[in-house]
Amino acid sequence: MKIKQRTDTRKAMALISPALLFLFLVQIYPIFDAFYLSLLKIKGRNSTFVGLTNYIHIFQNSDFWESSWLTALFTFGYLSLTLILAMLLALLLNRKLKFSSLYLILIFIPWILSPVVAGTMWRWLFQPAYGIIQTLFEPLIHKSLITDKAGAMMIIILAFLWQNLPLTTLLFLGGLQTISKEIFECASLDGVSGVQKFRFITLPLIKPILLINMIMGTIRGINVISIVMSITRGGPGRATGVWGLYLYQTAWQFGDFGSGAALGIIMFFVSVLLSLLYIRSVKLEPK
Amino acid sequence: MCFNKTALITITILILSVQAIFAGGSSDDATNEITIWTKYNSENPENNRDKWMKNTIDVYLEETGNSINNIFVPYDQINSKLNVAVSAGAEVPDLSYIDSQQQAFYISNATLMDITKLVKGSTWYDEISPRALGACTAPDGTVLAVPLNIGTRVSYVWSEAWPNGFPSTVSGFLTEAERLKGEGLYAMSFKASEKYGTEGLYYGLVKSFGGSYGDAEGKAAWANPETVKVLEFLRTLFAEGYVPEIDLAPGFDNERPFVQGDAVSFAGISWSYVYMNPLTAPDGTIIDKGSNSIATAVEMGKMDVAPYLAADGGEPVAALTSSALAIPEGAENIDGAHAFIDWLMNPSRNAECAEAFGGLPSIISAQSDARFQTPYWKKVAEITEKYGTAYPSLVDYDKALTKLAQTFEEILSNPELDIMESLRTAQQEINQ
Amino acid sequence: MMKKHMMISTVFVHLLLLVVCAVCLFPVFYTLTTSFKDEIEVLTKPPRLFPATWVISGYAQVFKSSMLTLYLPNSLMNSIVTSLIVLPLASLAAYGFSRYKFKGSMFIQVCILMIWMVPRLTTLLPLYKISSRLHLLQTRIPLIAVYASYSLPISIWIIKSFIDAIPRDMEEAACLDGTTLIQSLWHITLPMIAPGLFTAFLMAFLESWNEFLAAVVLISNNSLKTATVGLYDFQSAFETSYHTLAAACIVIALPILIIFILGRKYFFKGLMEGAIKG
Repeated sequence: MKIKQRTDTRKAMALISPALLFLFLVQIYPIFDAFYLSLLKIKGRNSTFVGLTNYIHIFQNSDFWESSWLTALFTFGYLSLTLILAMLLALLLNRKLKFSSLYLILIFIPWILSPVVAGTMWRWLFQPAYGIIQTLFEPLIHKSLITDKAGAMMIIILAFLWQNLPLTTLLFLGGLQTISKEIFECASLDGVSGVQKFRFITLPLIKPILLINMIMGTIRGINVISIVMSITRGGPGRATGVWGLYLYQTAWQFGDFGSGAALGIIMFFVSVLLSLLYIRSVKLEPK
Repeated sequence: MCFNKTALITITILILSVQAIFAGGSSDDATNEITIWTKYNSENPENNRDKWMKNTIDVYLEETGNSINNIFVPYDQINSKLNVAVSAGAEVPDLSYIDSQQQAFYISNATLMDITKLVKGSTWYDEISPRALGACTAPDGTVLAVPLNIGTRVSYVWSEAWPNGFPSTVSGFLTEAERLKGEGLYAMSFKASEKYGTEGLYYGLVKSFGGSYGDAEGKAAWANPETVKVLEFLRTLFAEGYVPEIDLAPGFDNERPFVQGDAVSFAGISWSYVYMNPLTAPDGTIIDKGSNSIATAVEMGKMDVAPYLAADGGEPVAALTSSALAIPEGAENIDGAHAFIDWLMNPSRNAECAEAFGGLPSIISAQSDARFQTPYWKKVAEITEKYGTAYPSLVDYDKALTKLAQTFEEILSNPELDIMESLRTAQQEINQ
Repeated sequence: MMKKHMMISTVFVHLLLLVVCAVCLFPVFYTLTTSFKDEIEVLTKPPRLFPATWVISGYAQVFKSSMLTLYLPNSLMNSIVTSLIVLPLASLAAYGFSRYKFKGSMFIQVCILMIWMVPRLTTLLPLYKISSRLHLLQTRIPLIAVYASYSLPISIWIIKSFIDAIPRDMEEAACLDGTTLIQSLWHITLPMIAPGLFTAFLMAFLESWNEFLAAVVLISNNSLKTATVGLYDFQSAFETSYHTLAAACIVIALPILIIFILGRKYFFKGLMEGAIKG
């Protein structure tokens, strides 16, 4: 038995190691490198070791905290809307109606678009004076949304919601389809109402999926950049300057690589924390 | 043993795909080729500048036998990409386009080579316009770039809407703006957002009111009463609807209301004319002459060029930018870069280049070229001569101006915000 | 009575779903109609849904550029090579995780999952530096390696869930019949995990086709630019010619749309299985 396990381990490692080696080289080693960079002050070709100074400066900077607040607001806003709408949509699609697969395909189209393509489309819709949606709402709100603080945030939330709704819906739908019909039939006979059925049967059963969606969605939210870059570029003012954009500006635009790397490490730790949460919630135990 | 076969197949596939990857790029070893980075797309030429770039590359090859590999980098990336490449020790171009007002950023990052000797020893040194060279010289006298032409900030004006002429002062402008509002027209459009906005009308006005963005040491110094006055004026413009809201949006759609004839003046730069076409005058006339649309409109008397608005009792300000070429640290073919610059800096080529870019030539004798004798260019030259001013030399130029732009946008979008307080906070953060 | 009630609610649900579809597709639809407008018509006030005259000057502009001859082929190349690297690596690893129980298996799987969640911005700067040190910046290698690393974790995940679903006995029975392991893999395992492989392929393809940030950072060579980078270049050149931008958007989205519609069944199945069983 012991021998078998040892050979098993060897065989398994032989199978896994190419992928592992690859990921180590392309993703893990650069994280260490980023950590090293975050301890340096880089000016052109010269760099000096400054320890944790970059981190201290970041935490003392009000721009960072404002950006953190915006990131949190953005993530909470888009994610809560996505979860609610995706759940409703999944419930509708799960009714096994005619054409429901066609609906699913149509709804999925935003998801397959590149964020740059999606961003270009959305910016055009909300262009002051010439954007069609802006014009539609003009009589109601009397101002241009993309140049308004709250309006710009709303636009990027909606755009990101639009792109992420499909996958979230699909995962919910997959979860709903594993629930057996009989449970509902029993419940119907007992005279349980629709809302109660959802509250007491559906929700507990798809709780794992809900958790997956929540945490994957949070991580996507805090790492957002491309779509914001192509719609608002962080404006007006700093109204949509989320973490990703803040890092991009600091490191690439202003050339402060040390601080940029430090921001990257901070984002990394927040993501790791959340993914640990994710893993705990789906419980990776062998079945 | 089964695994060995699987592994073998995998490795074969990997090798094949790696070969496919390598097939993509190849580095040229030709010694007489130089690589340059510009904002001009010579492979897919769209506007005059792109066409000029393509043509220059062809002619240079024809005349000297040396080839140029031009890599197109969009305007919003070129400065940062160059800086990243230099500091990472990556392959850098032999020559790169830079915006002269960015030089403080390059100085603090030591991105560019000191080419003082090269410039001072050149045959064209005596002919170069001091204004242009000044824009490319560091405060300590080091020359970092070779100016190709001078871009001047000017107002474009649809003449028919201004029977009394385009006002010279802000209070005169407000009176006229109220009248134009009654006619359903925006009195002006200008870039009011992002870093590019702070380099435009904002700066012209602040300077004209007697204020400044930075002090002699390159530190931020925009929290002054003059800037406050300028922002109060601009707040009025937006609050009263004299200027379109699109000005505050990201990108350059702020040109549109003017191009369409909905706004009757545009605070731009001399090279805006390359982009602004086809034109629709407020009376509905369409002028579609490609990059020459503006020049045509000026000749027709439909359009006029004027200095930026000035403070009451003050002088207008026309900030000058040079489109320039610089040699980054780590460049390999410095001789090749040098040869190309020498070739380019002759009066007729300089005039050709300036016209394509929409700037005045950086070589004095080229300014008398026939191309610059049109009403449009004469007016631009006059404004440059009379009101030309250099940009502030801010350390951390990009960071400072981005911060300033954000502050301006916040002040304009939130009428309750205390102007001085916001400016001061932003200034302190930058100077930390 | 009951039946009538059912019918009304069915009609209502259909209507609701139609509205949702319409809302979701509106930006794409409007982009499509915009792409057939001309330079002056894109800026009418108020904007019109359909062009007054349908013109293809936007597409002409796109086709005149390097989009068709260079950018799209580059994207295609990157996507295919990425998939070719990801699939074998992911299949091997998935098989290893699924078929062998060993100490640390869970730990490694958790690590791989965490790699999927590493913020992309964190690693781009070091990757740029490493690539420049290895003189790879003038090649596709850094970009393809990065894309493969983005897709590998999820691919392992999806494929593993399919292998898990195959009873071990089937393979073992085949082995007893005298077939070699490789034969049993080929004839029994492979057909059963084909949907998973296809999903993984689609995910990797889609990911590298649409990716923008790494491309814009890691490419400084005209001949390597991808479609998304090309679109960004377009934005700076045609800042205000929205019909051209719209046409470029459609041209970039079309290939991926076709692939998605052709492979939709595998795609949906693979994603659901991967997320739920994994």
